[in-house]
Amino acid sequence: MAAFDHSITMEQGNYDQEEVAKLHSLMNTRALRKKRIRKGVLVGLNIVFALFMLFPLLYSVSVSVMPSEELFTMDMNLLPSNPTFDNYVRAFTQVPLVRFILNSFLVAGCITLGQIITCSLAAFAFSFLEFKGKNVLFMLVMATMMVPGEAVIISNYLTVSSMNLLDTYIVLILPSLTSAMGIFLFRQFYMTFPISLYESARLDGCGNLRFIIKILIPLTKSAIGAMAVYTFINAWNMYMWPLLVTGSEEMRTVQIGISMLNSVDAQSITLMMAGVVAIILPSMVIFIVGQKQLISGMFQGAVKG
Amino acid sequence: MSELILKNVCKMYDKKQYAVRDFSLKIEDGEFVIFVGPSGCGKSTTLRMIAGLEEITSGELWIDKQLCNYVEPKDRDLSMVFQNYALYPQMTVYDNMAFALQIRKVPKKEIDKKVQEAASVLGIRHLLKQRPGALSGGQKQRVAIGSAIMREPKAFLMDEPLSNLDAKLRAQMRVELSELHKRLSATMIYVTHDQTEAMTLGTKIVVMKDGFIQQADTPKAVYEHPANLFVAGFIGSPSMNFFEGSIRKTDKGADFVLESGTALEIPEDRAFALLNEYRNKKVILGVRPEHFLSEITAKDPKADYTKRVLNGVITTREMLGAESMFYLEEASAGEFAARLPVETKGRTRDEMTLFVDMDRVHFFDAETEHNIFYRGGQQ
Repeated sequence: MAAFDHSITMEQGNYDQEEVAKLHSLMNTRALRKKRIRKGVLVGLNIVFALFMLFPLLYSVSVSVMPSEELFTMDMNLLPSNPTFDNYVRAFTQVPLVRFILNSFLVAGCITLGQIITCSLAAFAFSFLEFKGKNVLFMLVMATMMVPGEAVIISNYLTVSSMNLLDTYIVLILPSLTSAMGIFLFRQFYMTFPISLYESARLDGCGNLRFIIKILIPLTKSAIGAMAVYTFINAWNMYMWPLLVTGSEEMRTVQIGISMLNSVDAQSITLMMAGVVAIILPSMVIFIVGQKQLISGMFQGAVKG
Repeated sequence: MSELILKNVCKMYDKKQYAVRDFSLKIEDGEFVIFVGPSGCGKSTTLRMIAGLEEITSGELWIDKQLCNYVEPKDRDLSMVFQNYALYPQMTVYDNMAFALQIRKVPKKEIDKKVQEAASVLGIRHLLKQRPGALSGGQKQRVAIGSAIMREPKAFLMDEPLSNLDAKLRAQMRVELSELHKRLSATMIYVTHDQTEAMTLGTKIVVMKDGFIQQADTPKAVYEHPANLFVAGFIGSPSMNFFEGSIRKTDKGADFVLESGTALEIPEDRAFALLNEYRNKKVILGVRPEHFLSEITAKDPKADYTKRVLNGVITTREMLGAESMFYLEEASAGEFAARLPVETKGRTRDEMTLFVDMDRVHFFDAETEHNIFYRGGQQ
């Protein structure tokens, strides 16, 4: 030990304090520069890829503020030279776009709410309750995911038309009130939920409904948020079903409304882009708001972690 | 408080495998009963059946002279403390403790009074406004116990409540639990795989293995008179040493003879019985590490202590502070452990001579593994 200590003092003796400090700062700046360069390269690469991915979106925004004569030239016009909001004004006046947006909001909102309620309740039964045929039933639910929507769309149409529901809000909402995917997502999430909390609640005298409302929902906010965003955007983007079951202009949703812009004035791509940008905004807002909910962290302290 | 009776309770999974079999036990008011056994012995399952979290396949559960097989968990009026605490993370400590009473629609003032009372008993008053996430393991466990005592249930069920705590905290909580039991004079049923907890906490220990009760008795009785080989080996740390051998008749009485030829003289009172039934038959001798002596401390003047000697080679020596553990190797019996005073001399690979306290050893039937001198216990 003593010999070891001795050798260290010897080594240090070769440098005086100033030299050591200089050496320190020299090595420090070198390490710092390396770090900065690495970070710069990463950020640069990210920006390039982001631009690449976002190009269609950014280009559609650019086109939507372009006068149409600027688009139909032989030149490469990435950015408008005379930006104008004329397209937006025309998009909102030529078709009842506001009405379409409200329709879509109503339909997507109801579907989201309905799916969250039905899927979470079903998933609760599939993960917390014990009953005969539970696994078989769950398999059946999962099996419905394998049937493509297009395969049953005609029979669904016949069903709702025989119920005289065509061209109403109900027909837009009703078939999507539950989804196997949602049940599956919720169940997977509940499987990770500490079962002892449920058992403890049962011993405390807490019924199933109270458990769901007071304990399960507050603790699974992040799953609900993720599910809500996913469902809302899916419902917002529905095309085939609303096209099939709605006839009047008042019942149209945005996705169909946009294609109406095209049919009224066959060549106006700038007009359509204005409409597209206008309806992308709500789903982006939903996503940005919902993203906060996606961040979990509610489980800290539930059980030993 | 109350009295619990379990009568031939069985639990079967998937109609083929028994998890618990013919579990019969009477738990008196105010008892602290410990279910102890290796993992998979059915102790937790039994507790969960009492709580109502598992269905009872067959048999009867009586709580306070009421058949409770089909009573809902919430109506059994039992409270349970879980291994992972099971606190509701979104609620404050106060709300966690008050939750069960709020559901039962107890007036707010009364709830408040009880929460404050329980919190001061457990020393968690300053934590009432915090959420479980901000608490340490020991504090969480205290809160869990707090919410359990709020309801003044018929019995407390505890499923390995201390196994997530570190060793020091565990020892501390053990003392507190013991005090709490005295203070509340409540019936407690406690599941653990830790035999130290079992020995120190319980007024009655139920040793289980493979779904069967092996022995149910006071800690002292289980330690001093184990019913069979399994209980003898499971209770006590380090565990009992076992030596295979046979009983041989001598002029004076009987000897226990190891395969290597070493003979140990059996005290008179037991020699006769052993000779009767086990002459020249295989038996297993059980000696606790503390029942080896490094020098003769003669208690029985008639006995010839030189005939109660075991030789071995020291393989390992552990210093425990007040005592030393010696691990020795005997020619035929293999390794065995002895707990000796710290001053005892001896180094690794030294030959060592130990006296066996033959008055306190146990004899087990080699076939049935029962303790030959076990005369039943209280059940």
